[in-house]
Amino acid sequence: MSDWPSVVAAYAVTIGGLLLYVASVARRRIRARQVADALAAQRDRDAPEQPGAEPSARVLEAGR
Amino acid sequence: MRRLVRSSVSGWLVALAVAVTVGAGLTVVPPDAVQGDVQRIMYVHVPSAWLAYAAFFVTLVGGVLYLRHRDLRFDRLAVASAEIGLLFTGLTIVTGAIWGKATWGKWWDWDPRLTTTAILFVIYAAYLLLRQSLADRHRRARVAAVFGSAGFLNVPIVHFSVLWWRGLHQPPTVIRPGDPAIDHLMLAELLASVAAFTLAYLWLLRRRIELEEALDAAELALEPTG
Repeated sequence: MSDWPSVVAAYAVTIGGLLLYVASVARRRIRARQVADALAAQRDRDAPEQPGAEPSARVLEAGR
Repeated sequence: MRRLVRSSVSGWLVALAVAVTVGAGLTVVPPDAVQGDVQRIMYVHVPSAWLAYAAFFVTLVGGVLYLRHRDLRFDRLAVASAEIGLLFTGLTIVTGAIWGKATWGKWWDWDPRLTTTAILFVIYAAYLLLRQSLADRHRRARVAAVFGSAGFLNVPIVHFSVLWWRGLHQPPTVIRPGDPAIDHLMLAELLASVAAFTLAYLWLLRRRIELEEALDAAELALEPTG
């Protein structure tokens, strides 16, 4: 029996595994950034207005 | 934007390096005199195993540096490397099982090398699960540093298991007492594969650390303000 199906399977598992991992890291990073941004925006909205207080960096950024 | 372009270019260069070495392993290098073409699995199996060792060593270094400096950057390095090490350990086990089926006639055997590698996989899977169970960032980093460093003790056991105990797995071919027991062209291809996989590891490590930074930022945003 030919050895090639085993060889191709091993290479496919390796390359496929690496590519799936790259995709997984990219997806999780995008989601984590979205959550961080949403939470920071929520915090800015919820923060009580202090007379004379400096606006947060995010509010400044939004104003640009 | 410049960072994104740089990351994308380096990613394509790494992919090219892996593709070239994989292509050479499948076509340029001659088949083994005894095992035939199935021995070509070595060019993905052995680099995966070595990179797993290297990744867990980086986890050990990150853990020790965290315990010394209490700086979360070292913890991010440790967890990023542990996860990639777990990926490479998994790839080692699966490609080894495919190779074992073709040469030994079975997917798995409770051979010392296979068993200690499976234990290594479980140790670092437990490391990642343990981290998820601890909410406080510094406590999590401290406990994980101790666990990850202790887990590394299994790496030399995995490597030398083929010399210490009798089993099905062959003894080391390259890192062993005396000269490497391998043809020069095959050795060159093996070293090229290790180099390409090391580049892939470094690129993945950078991306995984960025993910950890994003997760830390999200966690920080969740913490109540004083």
